[in-house]
Amino acid sequence: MVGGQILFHGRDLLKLSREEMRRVRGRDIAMIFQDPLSALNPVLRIGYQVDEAMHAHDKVPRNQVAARSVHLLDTVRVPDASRRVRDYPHQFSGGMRQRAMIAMGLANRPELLIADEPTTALDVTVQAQILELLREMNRETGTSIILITHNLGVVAGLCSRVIVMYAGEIVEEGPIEQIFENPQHPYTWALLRSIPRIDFARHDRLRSIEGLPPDLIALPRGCKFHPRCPFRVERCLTDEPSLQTVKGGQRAACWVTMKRAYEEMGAADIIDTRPGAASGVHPPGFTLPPFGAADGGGPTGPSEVAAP
Amino acid sequence: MLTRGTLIYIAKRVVLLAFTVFLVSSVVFFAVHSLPGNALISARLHGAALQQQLHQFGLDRPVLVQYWSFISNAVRGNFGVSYVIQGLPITPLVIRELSVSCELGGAALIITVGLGVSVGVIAAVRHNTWVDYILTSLAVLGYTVPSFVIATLFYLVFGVWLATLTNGGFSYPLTWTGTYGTLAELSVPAFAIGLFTSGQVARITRAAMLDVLQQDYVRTARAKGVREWAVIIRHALRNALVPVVSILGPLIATIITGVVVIENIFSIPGLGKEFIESILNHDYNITVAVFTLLAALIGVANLGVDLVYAAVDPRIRY
Repeated sequence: MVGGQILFHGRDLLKLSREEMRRVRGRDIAMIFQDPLSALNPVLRIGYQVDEAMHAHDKVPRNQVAARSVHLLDTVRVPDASRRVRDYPHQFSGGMRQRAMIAMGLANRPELLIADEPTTALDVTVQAQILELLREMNRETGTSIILITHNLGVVAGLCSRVIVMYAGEIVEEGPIEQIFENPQHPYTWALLRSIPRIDFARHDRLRSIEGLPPDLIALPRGCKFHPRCPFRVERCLTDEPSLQTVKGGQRAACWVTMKRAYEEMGAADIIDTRPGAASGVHPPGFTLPPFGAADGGGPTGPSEVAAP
Repeated sequence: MLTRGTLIYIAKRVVLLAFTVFLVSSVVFFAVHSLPGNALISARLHGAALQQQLHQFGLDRPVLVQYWSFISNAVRGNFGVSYVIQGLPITPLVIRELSVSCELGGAALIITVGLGVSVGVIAAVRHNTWVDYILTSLAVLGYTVPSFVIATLFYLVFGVWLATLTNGGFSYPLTWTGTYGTLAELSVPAFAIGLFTSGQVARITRAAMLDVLQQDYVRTARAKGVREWAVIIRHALRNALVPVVSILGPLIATIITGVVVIENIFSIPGLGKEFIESILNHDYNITVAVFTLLAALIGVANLGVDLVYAAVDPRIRY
């Protein structure tokens, strides 16, 4: 943590004591993790692990815990739940383990569920089932969900508001339709552009973002995305942009924004996405690297110029 | 827990164990009978008197004939009689000595696991603090100093320096009242054996705990709001015990060897003391009986460890 607050119902979670934080965890804010294979304890029964979430908080009366575990597993569609509460995690399939995780997360009817890449370790059909389950839980129990993912398809299907992050900072946020139809930060734009589309011509080259994510212990100066941005201007190398409202409810941290990139830099027809390619603005003595050279080389060239 | 598969597994292991024990006793039988001298060496008999005595115990028969008569008696639980204390039946003697050694070894095992696991857990939880450094150093000291050195050190501390405090309870030679001794008397030799092995347990537990505390399921438990002690005991320790249990087999063998040494140092009337005495006395039948029981003990202990292994880790089924 560099600074700031984490407010939950007006309470700063960072100022809570260990014990106060423990009472929030799993009761008000629950979390489900990326890899259901390693997130369940291999030596404890599934039922026990779901029970434990409730025993830790006494929100559910003790004598109802076991019955509620079976009910929860039933709700997340674990088949034959009353018998399978006695199973160990290794007797569950990957999808079922993630369902058990969700059951655990929902045990205390939390107000907020943080789902960290909940479908990454699962195959596509199971992914769809899990997402459907999350949507249903959100509708029925009113639990808010923060979904952490790199999969924009999942975001489009499930979320109402998006926050795009790059190198640990928010670069763009806004309502889902606006972000997907009209992204204003070049990173969001490039991310959306790199999704392979079934309705595009087959022979099209798979688009990617040039370069590599920055080294987090030696971040570039100015805008963190500038070493990979085709639309950067000189100001991006030195000054860090802050979030500015670009359109009702949508904010982006960019000196250029895609509006200007489309109008002045020909973003609509851009093929060459190398850093700085579309801006025509280069530091003195900088020549564009040969195509593809940035792959594996990391953010070279301009970021070195910008480094102190 | 005791499914049909488990019972079949146990039965198989018992059959295998019986075979091993039979082999060990046969090898030992021929080994002691090929020692120079004979069973009556300490009686200092010569000429006709010696021959007459040898004949009386059947020791003048060919070795294979003696072997057959020993084996056919042994399978019925009769190990014959002592040659030194003439006519003393061996089976009740070694059974009593076995119980004394089991008491000592059991106490040492409790210390090994109890002390070793607690030290390991505390060191892992207080990872890289002075608590960790002190405990880890003590553990290294524990498993580098041999048990007989610790034993003599205990003598010095409790028997000599703290003689007034312990009210002469540990005077040299240690007074071992009755067959089984008192709890205070037991504690010193048990610690002498247990410190050595608990050092190893502590080291393994600490390493396993450090590994387990990094696991995702520990993070899950914390995210559920489970109290920290419960996270450590129920989630982390349960998993960390798996590697600890797997070294218990070899450690029990170490404890049994330790019992042999320590019983001789503290004059404890157990199987370990008999082990040395019977060899020195050429008391053949006792030697074979002692070896047979020790082999069986190690086998049973290892079977027990394997069953505990399955109880700790549900992924292991027989």
